[in-house]
Amino acid sequence: MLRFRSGPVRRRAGWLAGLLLASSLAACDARDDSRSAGDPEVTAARLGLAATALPAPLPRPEFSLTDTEGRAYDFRSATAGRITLLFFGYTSCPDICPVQLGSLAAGLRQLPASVRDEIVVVFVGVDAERDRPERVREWLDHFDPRFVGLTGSEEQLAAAQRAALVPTAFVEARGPDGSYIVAHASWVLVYTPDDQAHLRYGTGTTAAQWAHDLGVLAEQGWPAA
Amino acid sequence: MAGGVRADTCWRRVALAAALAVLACGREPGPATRGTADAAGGGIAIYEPYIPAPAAPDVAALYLVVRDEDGNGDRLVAVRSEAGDAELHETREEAGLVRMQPARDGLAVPAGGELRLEPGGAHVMLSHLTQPLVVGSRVHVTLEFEHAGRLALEVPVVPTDSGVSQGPPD
Repeated sequence: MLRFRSGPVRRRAGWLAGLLLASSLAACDARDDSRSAGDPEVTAARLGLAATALPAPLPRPEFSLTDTEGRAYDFRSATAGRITLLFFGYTSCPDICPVQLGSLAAGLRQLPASVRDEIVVVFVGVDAERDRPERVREWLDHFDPRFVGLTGSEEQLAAAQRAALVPTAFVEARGPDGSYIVAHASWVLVYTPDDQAHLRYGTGTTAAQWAHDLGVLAEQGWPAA
Repeated sequence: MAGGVRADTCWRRVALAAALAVLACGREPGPATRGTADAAGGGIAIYEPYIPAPAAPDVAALYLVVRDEDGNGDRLVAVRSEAGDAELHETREEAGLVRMQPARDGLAVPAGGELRLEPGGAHVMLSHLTQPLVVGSRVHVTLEFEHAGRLALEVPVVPTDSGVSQGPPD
């Protein structure tokens, strides 16, 4: 299957990025003229998004976990109709999780408050043992106090991951002292006001890319086919 | 999916290179520390060591670049720190999962090249922290190489936003 991916189309990436993007766009046009305007990859490229377009949209999932205030949080009803970023990670994660949340938080700070307020960021702590609500709250506050943090029992967490159609996290390696590493879903899913996820973002997404892409999505949502 | 992962890696490299360049601008040029040749003739220099101020109270990551300067190559085999337990790790993405594993055999420094410890790749995981890693503090770290022996350096704790996670500025 033909895979086409867009890069960021912003000035900051310089002429090299512009050149690369232009050539990949040209290649896409040339190889891909049979595709319809409703093709998600074409749409993502047209909008200049640094995302991977999902071949088929994923519905905003239905699951219930506990927020950092100890209240039940029904993901689907609590976030319906809003741009929502869904992360699965763990607070004892040294590398990827803080990098992803740090760049997202920095990207959001580049947006006007009116745009930022339309976007919900939900972090699910998949490490049932260590990701207690207070710890998740404190950890998220380091990035952005508005980020929603959810936790639950192992069963509830597994159900949430199944509902979101991401791979279920598991304990990767346990050291002699009882410490352990958790393998967890790498993609951030972005749901748009149509209550579907058309896009997912990888671990290398930069603040500038988040700012650009979320600005575009907040302005126009996901274009109807 | 393989194409997607490749492209991501590619963009990440561009972003990291740019961010590191920006990061490097604010600091004194040249390596943070330089190893003297030992019996085996190792010549190693360390560049751009940093620890993003951790969000967690007990775990952090340390990043740096190791450059082989004498063309013989080397291997980073162990890290020690007064700040807590230090372990070499490699992160990789596989089947939609982020997976992290200890690099038990150490990490190779290619002859005439660089070993880059950077977000999303190899890193030193600091755990069981014995001191709060607040912005502006410095952490004493000892790197142990197969040939170059031990190198001691002070690693600054920097704001998360000033690290590579911010990406290139506009």
